[in-house]
Amino acid sequence: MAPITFEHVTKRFDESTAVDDLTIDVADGEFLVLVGPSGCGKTTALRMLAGLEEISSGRILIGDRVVNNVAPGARNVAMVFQSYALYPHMTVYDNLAFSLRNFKIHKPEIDRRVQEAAKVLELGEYLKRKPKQLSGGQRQRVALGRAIVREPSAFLMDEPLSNLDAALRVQTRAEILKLQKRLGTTTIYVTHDQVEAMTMGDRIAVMSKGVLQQIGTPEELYTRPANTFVARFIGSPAMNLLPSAMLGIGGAGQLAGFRPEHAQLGDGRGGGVRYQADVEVVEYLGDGQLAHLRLGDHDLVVKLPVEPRLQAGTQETFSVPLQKVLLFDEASTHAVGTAA
Amino acid sequence: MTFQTVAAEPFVPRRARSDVARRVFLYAVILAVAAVFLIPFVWTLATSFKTIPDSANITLIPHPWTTSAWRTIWTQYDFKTYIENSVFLAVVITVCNIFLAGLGGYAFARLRFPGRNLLFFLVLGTLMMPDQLRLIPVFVMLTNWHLIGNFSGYILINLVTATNLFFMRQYFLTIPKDFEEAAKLDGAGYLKTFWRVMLPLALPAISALVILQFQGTWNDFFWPLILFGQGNAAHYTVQLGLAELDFQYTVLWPQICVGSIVAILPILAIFLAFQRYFVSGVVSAGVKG
Repeated sequence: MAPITFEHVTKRFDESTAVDDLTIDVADGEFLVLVGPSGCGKTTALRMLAGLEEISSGRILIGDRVVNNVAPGARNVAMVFQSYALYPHMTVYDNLAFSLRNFKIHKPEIDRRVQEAAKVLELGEYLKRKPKQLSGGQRQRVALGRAIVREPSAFLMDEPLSNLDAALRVQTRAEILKLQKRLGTTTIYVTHDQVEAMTMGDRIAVMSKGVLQQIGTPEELYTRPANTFVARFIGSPAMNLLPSAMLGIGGAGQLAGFRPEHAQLGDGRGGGVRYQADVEVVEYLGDGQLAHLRLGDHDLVVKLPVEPRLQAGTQETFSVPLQKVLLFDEASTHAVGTAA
Repeated sequence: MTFQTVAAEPFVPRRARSDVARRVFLYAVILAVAAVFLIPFVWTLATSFKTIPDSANITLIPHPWTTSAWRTIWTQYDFKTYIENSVFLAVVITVCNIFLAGLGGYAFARLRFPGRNLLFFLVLGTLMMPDQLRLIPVFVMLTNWHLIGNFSGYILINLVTATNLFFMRQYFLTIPKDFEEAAKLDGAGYLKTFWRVMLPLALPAISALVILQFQGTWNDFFWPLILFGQGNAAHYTVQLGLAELDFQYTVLWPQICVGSIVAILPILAIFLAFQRYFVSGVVSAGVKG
């Protein structure tokens, strides 16, 4: 276990900059999620930390040690690949033991660690099998096991759940979290799925176009997004954004943003902003309804209780409490505060 | 009241009938093609049991039957030594090619070093040079190094071929990089990554290489004849031994046929042993997505 530091780290590929001046401190034992759309630089950042990509400028520290020029195997980090990258010609046991043998660990100790990891991950009966004889979920657990046996300073996980089906993904998500809490190993987890990010991370770092947009707890990012990108990226459905003047609040050149679940049907109880919008589509969710609205040239989404049921094609009045409306500078996209 | 059922003539749709006809035609074509390949084998086997005069007749049934040729190639000719020589050369050269083409192919596929592309094109360039063009320079060079008349020179010029190098490089390019990166993080160096991870993953390519290289060396006549085949019977390979049976005024067809059958057997064994590794999917089992 060790803290990890990115200090002004930049990665350039020929003409393009994949990661631009990234600075992050990850505390010892913390679970940090790097999230962003495809091509935002999150995987490149992780690969630089693993030593699989060279750093163009800046420093990466694991503990107190600068690892810019340290070979991947000597960084004492273990990585779970998106593809799992299990060695197909080796048994599960050999896959788990491969790194330990390379590090010249004594045979009894190798056996102890492999058996322990197999027990934790319920892989005991599969140790003699080869990866092709395992299901997707079992292969994923072997990939996790390969990281665990190393007892590394940090786990690096590159979208490890993206190849699992929805149900297994939810289950494995919880298993990874339990495992990480139990082992207390610093973990950096890359995903493009904001739900995964929100549910797993102690903190989340949102990236876009190689630049860190915001880092904070899931709640901070959800309630106080630093800019319109984070506001839209975190939360599903995404935050509604429209010129503040349309809601009669804020100043010139500002955008107003509110979460779909903060909208209420009707005038509200004073102190909120009101607007009339056309109901275009209503999606029934069981525990609520999702209404797609049209306000001027803008599409809005609101999430309401299941009753009273809205009808498509009608015009309704909605309100949002002022303290739930965030204001952003339209030019810079940065948050400027709440409307309250 | 009783109902009498009448067995109706089974209805065969027009389409099903045309399918049957198509199938019959296809099988006829396949059998005809198979016969074209099979008949020479049958003829070779039949001739191996013929007498020399009878071998001039184009018949598939020997008249009379004799096993004389099967005995004489072991007693009058030293085919045992020829086979041992051929096996030795084929095994040594195949192993060297697997190792060196594997290492070189991996380096060309994955390692970044100055002049890599130029070097690779130079290697490929040698494929455009026919053996006959290289014959005199190679012969002079090996003579100067005192490597004529024994196996060393032949092994030296066949240590690794550009074809095999190219073949292995192309195969390594198809293996996902994740395996190497996982091995790097697992603390394996270049050699261990190559030996423990990449080479086993290249098993289908190696199998193809074993079959082709073994067969190529086993069947090679040109270079063995030039380098150690001139009257030095202790170094003869099977192919040189077979040529020995072709005299100026007579050809010992039954003996040649026996020798040919014996010569085919190791190739057949190698093919049967390694063909199962041709199946694809060995690599895909370890990565997902």
